[in-house]
Amino acid sequence: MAIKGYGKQLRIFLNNKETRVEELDEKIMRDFLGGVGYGARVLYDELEKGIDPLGEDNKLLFATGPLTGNNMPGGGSIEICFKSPLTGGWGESRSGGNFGPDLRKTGFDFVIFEGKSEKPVYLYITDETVEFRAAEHLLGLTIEEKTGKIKEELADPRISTMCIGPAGEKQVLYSTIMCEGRAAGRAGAGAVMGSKNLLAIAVRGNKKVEITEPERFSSAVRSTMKVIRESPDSAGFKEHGTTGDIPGCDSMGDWPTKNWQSNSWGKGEVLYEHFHAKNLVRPNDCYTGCPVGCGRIIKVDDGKFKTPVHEGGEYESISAFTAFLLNEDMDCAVHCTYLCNQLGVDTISAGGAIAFAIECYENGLLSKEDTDGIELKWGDPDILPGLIKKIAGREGFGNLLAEGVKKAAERIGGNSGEYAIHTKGMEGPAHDPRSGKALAVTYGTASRGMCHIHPLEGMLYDSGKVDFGLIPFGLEDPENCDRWDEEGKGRAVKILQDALVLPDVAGNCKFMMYCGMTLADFSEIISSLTGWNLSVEEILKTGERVLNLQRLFNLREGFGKSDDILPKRVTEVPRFGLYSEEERCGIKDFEKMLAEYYQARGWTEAGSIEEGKLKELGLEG
Amino acid sequence: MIKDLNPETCREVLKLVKIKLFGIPGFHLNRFNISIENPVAFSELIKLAFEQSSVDLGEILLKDGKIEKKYFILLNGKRIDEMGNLEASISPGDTLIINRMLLGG
Repeated sequence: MAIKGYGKQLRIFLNNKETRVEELDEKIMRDFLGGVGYGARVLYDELEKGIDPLGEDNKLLFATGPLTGNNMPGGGSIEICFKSPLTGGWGESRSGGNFGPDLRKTGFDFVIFEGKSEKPVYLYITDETVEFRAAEHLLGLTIEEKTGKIKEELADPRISTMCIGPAGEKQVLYSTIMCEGRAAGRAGAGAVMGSKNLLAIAVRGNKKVEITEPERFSSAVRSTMKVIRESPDSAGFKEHGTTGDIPGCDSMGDWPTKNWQSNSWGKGEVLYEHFHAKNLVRPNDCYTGCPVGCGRIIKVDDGKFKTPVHEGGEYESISAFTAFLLNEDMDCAVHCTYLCNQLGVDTISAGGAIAFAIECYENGLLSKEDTDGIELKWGDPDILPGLIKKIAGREGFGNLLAEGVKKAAERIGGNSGEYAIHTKGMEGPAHDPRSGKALAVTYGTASRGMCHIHPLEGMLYDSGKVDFGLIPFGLEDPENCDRWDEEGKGRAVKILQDALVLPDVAGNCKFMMYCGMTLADFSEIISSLTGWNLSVEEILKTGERVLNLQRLFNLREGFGKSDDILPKRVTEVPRFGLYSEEERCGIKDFEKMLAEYYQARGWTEAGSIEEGKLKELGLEG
Repeated sequence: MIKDLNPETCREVLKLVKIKLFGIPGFHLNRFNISIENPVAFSELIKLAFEQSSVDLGEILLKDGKIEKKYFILLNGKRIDEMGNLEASISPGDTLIINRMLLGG
């Protein structure tokens, strides 16, 4: 029987091009809601331990949630779940854009891809119908070219697409799935899609979900939207996007610089001023109806890095091609992020991999013979576009970097592992735990590794003094904590993680919570939509359940306490910059913070989950 | 090329303290100058800023008489928390950058 507030699930068997429409299980939906929560349930149940992430046995799940939709706060969202080829553990990747809302309009909330197509294909999903289309002619095309061709072939410019670029076709381990200008960027979703010979998905639909209490639902959505629209943070985001954070992060020691040798550079202000004056065209909503509008439309008018007007210029991407590499040429950084998005490469991992390579080269672990004759130097903008193309095509030296820093260091040997900045195999993003210690715990324990989504709450708590309305649920008031305190951060992170995973579970954008959306808003919207009357406490418990199931997924794959770590360099006092003489920056006792976190979670000292906790969360057996 | 440079203009410019604001709702990328004759404490500069520019830095930055922890202030590229915060000495020609994380993209 259909569940109010939800659509159906579409299962696609790529081996024989068969499809199956499936009803959703109400108990599972109530316990896991959707997005990465539902994804965790499905993949934990359906994947065997130890499967090859790039083999036929891996599954690729496109998941929306009850809050996905154009009229929802942050509802332009799609989550993709899979076993990660980059880490070998839990893989998830999120993109903004209209694809999520448009997928829901086809009547399908979830699409699971299984097996592998014999030849390249793309799918066209309309109102509960599916069409397999040949895609050989799309091989090698950039994202913009693929998207354009598909829209032309389907004779409908209003369809939404997600596709892989050449990097996904070559199974670069950190290749993306692009939602036109937006990226499901991390953990190698693009490689999994490429391994299945699936190049793109196009959707267009006209269906609507049934709402249990329409008036209550509309009222809840309206009041949440009002809070978000009136938030000063929302106004700041709209005016300056995520890149507007660069000067602040640089000054607070939250801007990893020169492959994490420092947490500040002192160039953030000048770089952002150039971006704002020269590259920014206008703000942009990533999906129709967004109350925040943090996206940017940007360009480089002329010069050797001339770049057409495009959607991009995100904080993480720009940081990866400036501070990570000591590159002071903002036009080059804009161009590099554009190239990555067109070729389908994760900007964060690409910047991290290049920084790693430069440091290996500087220390004699790589030579010109290894790098196809390229002299790798800090701050040299001219080498960057070529390196990105090599990575995307797995050409020569790029083939090594396409494996990510963990595997590349294993191949290079020597002490190169010291320069490989990652947790669980995922390259570090552009926030630094030496700015505040909660971030150390979130980096060490996040399910997919050193990612830029789930750890952010730690940084906002410590440096931004944001409590997300969680003090009534046991969170220590951030105003009472020093950002460099270590005690108490493990306990704080447990609550922060349980709450801040909810947008990725419910299918909306996390920035809504940064702009004032509370757990009570989630509760009211989902309850009026589904009729379940979920309390705030139940909603928070859902977040905890989801994170524990992702933990179980990783434990089954052999991950454990020894993987809940920070790279040594990231624990050390910075070598230069504003904080080089600030001893409090260094992480003194990560083990102790981790033990506090495990205890708060109800995990054993070894990092597995206590039986009692499994029972409490309904995850036993 | 600088035109019409005269000694009086130079003297006036040298008295200025440049203030830049980043990430502060309503004031992001705001910048203004405060004129001072001699070094003053940062607390005094906050008062002068309100008199000379109408930007109420006290309202923005202070809680219970202290700089709120969410603000990160640089004086000539160095952290003001290492220079005594409100007691830090600001001289003519100095640059103050006041930062707050926008949202953490």
